[in-house]
Parts: sequence; structure tokens; C-alpha cells
Amino acid sequence: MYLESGRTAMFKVWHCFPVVFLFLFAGGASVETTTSTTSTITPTTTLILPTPTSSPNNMPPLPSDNGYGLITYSSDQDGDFEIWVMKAYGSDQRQLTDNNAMDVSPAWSPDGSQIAFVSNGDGNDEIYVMNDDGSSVRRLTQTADARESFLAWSPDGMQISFDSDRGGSWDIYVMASDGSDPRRLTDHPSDDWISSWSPDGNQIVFESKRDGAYEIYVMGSDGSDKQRLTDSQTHDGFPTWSPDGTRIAFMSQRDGNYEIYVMDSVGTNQLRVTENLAQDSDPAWSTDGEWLAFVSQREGNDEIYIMQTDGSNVRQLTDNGAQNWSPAWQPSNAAIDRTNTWIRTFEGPDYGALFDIVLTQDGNILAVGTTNHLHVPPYSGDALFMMLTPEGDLLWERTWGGEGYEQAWSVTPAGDGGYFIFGETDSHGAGGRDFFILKITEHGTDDWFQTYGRERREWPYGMLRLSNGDFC
Amino acid sequence: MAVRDAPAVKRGFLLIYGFTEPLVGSGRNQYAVRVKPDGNVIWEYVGESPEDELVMDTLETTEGDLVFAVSIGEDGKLVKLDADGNVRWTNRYELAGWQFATQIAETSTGGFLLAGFSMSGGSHRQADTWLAYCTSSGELEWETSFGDSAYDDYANSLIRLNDGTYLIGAIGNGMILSRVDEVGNDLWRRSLLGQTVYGAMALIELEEGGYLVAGLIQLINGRSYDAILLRTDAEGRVGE
Repeated sequence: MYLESGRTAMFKVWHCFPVVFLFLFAGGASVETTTSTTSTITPTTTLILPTPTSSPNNMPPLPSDNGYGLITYSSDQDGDFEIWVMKAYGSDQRQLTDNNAMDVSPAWSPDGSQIAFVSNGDGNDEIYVMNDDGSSVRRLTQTADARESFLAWSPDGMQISFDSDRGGSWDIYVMASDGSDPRRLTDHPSDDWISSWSPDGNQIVFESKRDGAYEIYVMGSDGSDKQRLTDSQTHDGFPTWSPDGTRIAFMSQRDGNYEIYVMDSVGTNQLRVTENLAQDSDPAWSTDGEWLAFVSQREGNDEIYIMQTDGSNVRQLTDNGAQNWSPAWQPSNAAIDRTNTWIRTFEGPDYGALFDIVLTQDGNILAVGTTNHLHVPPYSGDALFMMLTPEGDLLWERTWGGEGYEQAWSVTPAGDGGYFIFGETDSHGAGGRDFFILKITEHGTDDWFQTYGRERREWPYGMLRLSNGDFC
Repeated sequence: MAVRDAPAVKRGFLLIYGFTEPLVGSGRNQYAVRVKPDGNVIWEYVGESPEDELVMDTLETTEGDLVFAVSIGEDGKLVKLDADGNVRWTNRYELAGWQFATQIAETSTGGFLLAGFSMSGGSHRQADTWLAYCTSSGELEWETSFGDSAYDDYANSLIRLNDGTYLIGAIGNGMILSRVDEVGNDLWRRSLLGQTVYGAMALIELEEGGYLVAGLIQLINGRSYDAILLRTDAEGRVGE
């Protein structure tokens, strides 16, 4: 839609390239799009937005967190490694552990409520678990003469796989998530470590040097049927299964330095997704499977980045000059009730925006807004009313206006089953742009309308329904 | 101008607001009209400041007074009126940079939570959501800004939730929802639906849990906008 500003645009672009601005200008009521290529902001009440603050062609999008916007990681920015958490767009970095030990390798429980990690706080590397706010730290392993390292929760949250050298060499073990019943899944004199569960819980992918070079292997979650997935003869490692089970991300040195790769879960279609001279490692999937968090040395030290799984839209999340390792995205099993969420878009010249909504007595949704508008003469466009079911399906829609320009900005029940709709009109009224109130019946037909305003122009922001009382 | 006689209804006094051009000269004045449920005007309020002033949002206090969130220059301002439209007090907040409320809500303490627009000064001017608290007498107690570090965004909708916390909708890159408590703690923030321009223009909390969000979307980069309506779960998430 082209929404009219109603006044000369006061903003000018402060970048030297063409860029589209959305002006929610004073009068709130109006949203204008325009283009410009010149100079500075004029301090007025005009709002600008949204505009990238640097090149719009190069800025990465935010991950669509859809509610799963946390990444945990380990960082030594306070002098020794601690467990941290941040939002998936890098903000709100918070320290969860604070001790003199080395706390590393955090892993979310499937319900997102706990984080297991490795710490040497009791003298050697053991596995601990804590609540996602850092409280209630509990030790899960007790091996004074051995070390434990990278761990992964089973999809049902009942088990944790981990690495241990308690048998004389590094192997994969599994235990109940309370630390009981440890069992060995691999038994090979070469290193077996860094495990990740398939989403159905039936398989575990891991890194092994059993054939001479570190490669990616998969086995049943009981340790059976070990099969090699990669054969680069360099170093393939840090495998991690995608949330939908179809892909495995890993790091590999096959092209000269460590880069991030993605392959099908059976080992086919091994594709590189990063390409630079720095080391990229530790991939971790976002819960929607569309993003990978990873560690990169492209700024000299280990910082955490995210990118889309095709390698595009790289975005740096940490920038603290310290070492930041092992990002892990909060799992999706803090489940969305997908049956009760929906998105409806209404596209084309008949739909410009929805500015207000109200629930009807029978649970439907009355939405008001505007059709597409031209913000240059000849002004055009109408107020838009839509009645939708609780599931967002359209029951009826209509427009209201005149020869000029109308938009509806607010709606509120009238108390008799009908509704008051408030907006702006230049087809009717005393002069210039005016306010209007349209009273419609519960069936959406016109009851009455009236305009408000003085001789010149008015711009609306909204309508407030007041309590009864003083003017009855 | 009523096109036909309005039927009498028992409920629904209304306040409509925005700004008006002065009858002489240029500028913008606060403008509000109190309206009977039959559409007839009770009173009309016109601000008299020589500076541009816009009534961005309003609320009715539990005592029946009216509080206007006003934008003036690069500042925000609150104006409190009685039910007859007489000004009780005004308070302008002259902070560094550019801040004003596009939204206002009453808190449990009788004060006001403000959500809106902020832009820092200097060469790197970026818009963010402004969040502030004013006492019932209009004294600013705290203010903060938050938002995407890479894109401009600002609050354009605000509702008080049944549990006493607040949901803020923004215009920005992605459909941005934030839930905060009344002392400004960030409870969660969602950037839904990926990279494009969205505006969360109106919010409703559903009794069965979840939120309705209505607004606009730029489906095709450029000048065209379309309408969007979505329902989230109670944590502000969508399953698609």
C-alpha cells in the first residue's frame, strides 16, 4: 500500500544509497513509504522505520527464533571458562556459573529447563547439571581418576551421552540423566567422542579416530551397528544432528582449514557452508533447522557466530576478545502448540494493513485497517473491515470510503452488538483531512457516521473507549 | 455530519485523538474530542503550544481522568486532563537524544508505563523501543531502550496482560513482540517470521492463552505493504 503522509516527508536518508523508508509519521495514522537519497535527519516527530543502520544489502536478518531464542556457550571472558547464555541475536549475554573452575561444553535438556556441562571444579573434569538460570548445580559423574567431556541429552531427556577416558581410552558412554546407570557404548583404543542423538533417539553420531583419521560415525543408541559416514582422511568432527533428523552438521579440515559442512544423515551430499581462512568449528543447529551457530576465529579469537544453513547471512554474536566455545541452541521441546497458532496474510491491492482488532461476542475477530493507498494525488484508498473466525479464516470483508482517502485506525464495541470504527477521511467533513466515527451493526452494515475536525486538517492516532459515568 | 439519525445506545463514551493544524499559521496541535455514544460532541480539546504536539496515545485513569502521551519536538510529554477536558498537569521529559511514547498504560501502582520510540544522538542514529515509567503525578522514574542492534525498530502497540505484565509490539525487521514487567525487566522477546518489515499495530490477549497480533507486512521489498493477522501461543511463538 502507499499510505499517505499528509505532509511533506521530513526525513531524508542519511546513507548515500537508495533505500526504502517506512515513515510512520506524525499522525500515526499514516504510514508512508518513499525513497530518498540525501542528507540528514530533521528532528521532528516523524518516525522512520525500519531501516538498516548500515548497508541494507549486507546486513543479515535475525533468526526467526519463534520462541527458542537462547544460545548457551562457554566463555573465559571473566578470566576462566564459565557457562553463559544469550539471546540468539546476541543480546542479553548473562553469566550462569561463577567459580574458579573451568566450566565448558554446555548442553540444553530437551525441555530447555536445564543445562548440563563439564567442570573441573572438584579436581577433574566431571559432568554437572543446573537449572537454566544457573541455580541448583548438581554433579552427575563421580570419577576421581578419569575425565569426562562433551555430552548430549537424549531426545526424551532420560539419558545423557558423554565422553570419558575411565576405560583407559576416550569412549562414548551413556547414563541416566540423574547420573545413574552409566554404560559404555564404544570400546576402542582410539578416540571416540563428541556425540549427538538423532531426533528419534535411535542413533548416535560421533567422532572417532578408529580408522586412522578423525571421521564421523553413527551407531545405534545402544552402541550397535557402528558405520562410518565420512572418509576425508583429515579431521572431520563435532557432528550434530539437525532437529528434523535429515542432516548432520560437522567441521572438517578437508579443504585446508577447519570449515563447517552439512551432509545428509546417511553421509551423502557433504557440502561446505563456510569458506574463509579462519578456523570455523562447533556447529549447533537452531531449533527450526534454518540456522547454525558456530565458533570462528575470523576476528582472531574464538567468537560465536550464526549463519543460515546455506552459509549466508553470517552474524557475529559475541565480541569480547575472549575465547567463546560450544554454542548450543535451546531446544524446541518447550513445545509450541502448533494447532493453536496461525499466520494469515492478505495480499494485493485490496489489503494494505490492519491497524486494530477486537473480539466479537461470539469469539470472531473484527479487524480494521486500510486498502492499498496512493500517497500522491489523486489520493485514493478506503477503510477496510474484515470479520474473521477465531482461526483467522475470513467470514466477510468490506470497504468504506468515498472519492478521496480513508483509513480506519481503531475499533471498539458499541454496546449494542455493533461497533464504533474510528479513522480519517478526506472525502467527507469540514475541510482537509478529518476524523470520522462510523457506527456499524453487528452484521457489518452502516448505522451512521459522523466527522470531527476543524477547518483545516486533522490526523488521527486512535480512539479510547471511556467508562460510563459522568455524561449519562 | 450524521448521514442519518443515530440510535441511542447506553454505553460507549469515546475519546478520539491525534492532532490538528492551527487555524492560522503552521504547526500541529494536540487534538482530542470526547464523543457521546450517539456521535455528538461533548467537548473538544485543542493544545495551544507553539511547538508541534501530537497526541500519540491516551488512557483513562481509574479516577476517570485522562492522560495523553504526547510527542513534542524530540521529547515526550504527559498531559493529564479531567473528564471535562481541563488540564490538571503537564510534564515534559527532556532527555538526551530523542524519546517519546507512542503507547501508554496504567500500572498497578497508579503510575504509567510508556512504550515508544528512542533514537540516540551522534552519528550512529538508530531507533529502538523506548520503555519508561512515570509516577501517577507524571514524574519520570526510569527509562530504558532496547531493540535489534542492526535495524531500527520501535514500539507501536502495548497491552497490559492479565498477570500484570505487559506485551509490546513493534515496527521493525521481523514481527517483534516483547514481554516486560512493570519495572522494565525483559521477560522475553520474539522476532517472528524472519527478515522483512513488519508492524505489530494491535494486540489482544486471549483468555485461552496466546495473543492475536494485527499489522502490516512488506511481502515484497519496496513500496508495497499488505495486511497480516496472526495468533501466537502464550509465549509469543508461532508454529509456522
